[in-house]
Amino acid sequence: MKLRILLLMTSVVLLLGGCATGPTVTRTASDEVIDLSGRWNDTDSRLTAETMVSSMLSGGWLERFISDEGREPVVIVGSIRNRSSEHIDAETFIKDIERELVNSGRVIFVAGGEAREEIRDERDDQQSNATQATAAALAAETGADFMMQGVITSQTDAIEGKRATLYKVDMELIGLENNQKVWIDTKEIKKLVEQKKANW
Amino acid sequence: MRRDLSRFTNSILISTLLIMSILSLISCASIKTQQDQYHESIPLARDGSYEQASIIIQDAKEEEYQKKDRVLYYLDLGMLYHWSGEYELSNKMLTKAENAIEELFTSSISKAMVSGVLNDNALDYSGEDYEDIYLNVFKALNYIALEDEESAFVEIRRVQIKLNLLEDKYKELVEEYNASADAKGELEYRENRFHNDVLARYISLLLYRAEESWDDARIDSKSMHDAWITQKHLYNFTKPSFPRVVPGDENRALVNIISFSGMSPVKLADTIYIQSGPSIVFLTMTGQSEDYVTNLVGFNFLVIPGIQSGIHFKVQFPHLSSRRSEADRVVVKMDGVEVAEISMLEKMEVIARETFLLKQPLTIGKTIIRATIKNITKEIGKGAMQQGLSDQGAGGLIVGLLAGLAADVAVDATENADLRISQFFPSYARAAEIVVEPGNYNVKVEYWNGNNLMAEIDHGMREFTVDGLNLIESFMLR
Repeated sequence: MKLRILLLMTSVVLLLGGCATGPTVTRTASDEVIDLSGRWNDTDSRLTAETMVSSMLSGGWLERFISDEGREPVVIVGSIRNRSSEHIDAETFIKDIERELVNSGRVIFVAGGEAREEIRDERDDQQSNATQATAAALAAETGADFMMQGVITSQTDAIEGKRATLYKVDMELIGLENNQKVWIDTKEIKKLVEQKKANW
Repeated sequence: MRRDLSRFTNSILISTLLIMSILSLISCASIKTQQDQYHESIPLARDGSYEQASIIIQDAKEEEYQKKDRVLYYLDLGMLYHWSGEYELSNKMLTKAENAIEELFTSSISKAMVSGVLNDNALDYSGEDYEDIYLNVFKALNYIALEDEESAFVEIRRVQIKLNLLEDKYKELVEEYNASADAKGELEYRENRFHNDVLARYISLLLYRAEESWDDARIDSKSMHDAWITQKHLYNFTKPSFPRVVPGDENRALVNIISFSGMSPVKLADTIYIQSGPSIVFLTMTGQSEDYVTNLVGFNFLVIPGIQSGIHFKVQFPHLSSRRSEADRVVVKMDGVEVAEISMLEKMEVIARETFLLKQPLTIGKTIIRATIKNITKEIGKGAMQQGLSDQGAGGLIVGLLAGLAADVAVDATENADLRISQFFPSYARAAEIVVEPGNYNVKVEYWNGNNLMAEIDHGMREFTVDGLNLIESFMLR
């Protein structure tokens, strides 16, 4: 009898428990390289930004500018166009570049795009709502000397279950006053993805 | 003796019951394509009630669509969301479909070769190639509607990549199968004859032109012209006039209208039955009509002396059946005045057929191989069983015949063509370019069948500007 009750209780517990299991989550370092699909990912964005900014800062234009002007250049990041066959979040890439530029300490970086618009709105708002002593002054922005622009393209080829994608990131630094291109570089990332082979 | 017969008879009946039970346990969806969800949703979509149709499809999740049918669910819902103007939801669904198609393609085909017991309905549906290509076209149109031209470009580029991959897709699979040790027959492949999609090029041209990339726009225009030369089998109608690819009058607006009509093809089943009598073989072929009614297509017999009676064989495979469009003329009106007839740009159903035929040798080949193995195994089993029972006298003979009949029914029930295909892609794409003074216009698109006005789609007041993209997408799925 006891055995029956025990069996019954075990069955009920098993039924109530079901067999569903939650997702398995493993924390990893944010700089760990994880390639799941072979598509452009955060690692590609970060590595490309590091390489590009490093290349840009080692270009001869920087020393020339400092020597001519006696100060660090002011740089703004413009548009990074996605001309690839993947939906690449250009905003993440732009943020990676901005971080590298600011952290380098070798150029002065100014905000552009939506961030600049938001700041301008706030500054305008301060003119009527903040005290005269604390309100940010109008027309006192730091004007940029150079704008960084770029384009991401990709080419995909596939044969015999393998897919190769070549990502090409072209970037350039353009003088805002004279449209001179003072630095150009290209970074290529090639990814080979092997599809599951048909198992006959 | 009587006890032996009874024991043997019982064992046969138990075996038969077991087969029937197994078949009943395997859900119906595993052996037959589920189409109940379309009985109401297709008429609703035809009448322009896309939201209601999408609710029916959503409600059919889990019952009519199982996990193995997820590509179909995403495609059906993604297209209905597109037609109802839910562009973000449409993109979400079509992206899920695209990812699942990529993930499933290789594994589904390989499993299909060895799925000896059941049929392709039991496997994951990995989509038709034309679905995989056109989903990017509609995602591009979704992004244009969402004013995200950069993402629309991404989708159009994916079309070209897929067309390039299509070149060798089935050739590789067939070669792999033929070279494998487990190959149970030699399969053949068909040469790909679809390399260049005019509809995708048309959208690409408009996007490039809107950003004044004239060289890229010209390349697309040239590719479109080339399609009428290199792909005559797909573009066998009068070439329409293409959008201009040189800077024009700075004071005029270029308006482009893309119109879709009809519904994409469906898959219907063709069945061949082979039944033997004493020294004679009967061949019966049946085919499904567009209403899914099975009709006798042909009957023949062959006299083959010495052949045993009682052999029963069924093979079923799908064919593509066009649903066309009732609309034979589409015109655009601005402020009540007819300004252009919209010309045929692409017969999407013809592209569907072309890509379907690429896969068809593989489908028929594997169906025949699988059905042959299944039926031969069954016939050997029937022969052994009937031999055993015939030794038990007249009663045993009758039981043997009945058990053989049950085996025929059971195996027939598992041999069904996989008729899964998305239902809400259109059949035809038309396009026109109209040059107007910049400003606001009331735009209506009329769909005509002979002298009968089928539908008048009111696109409301639209502002057309000198710069950018002035694109109107019009549709009517009849």
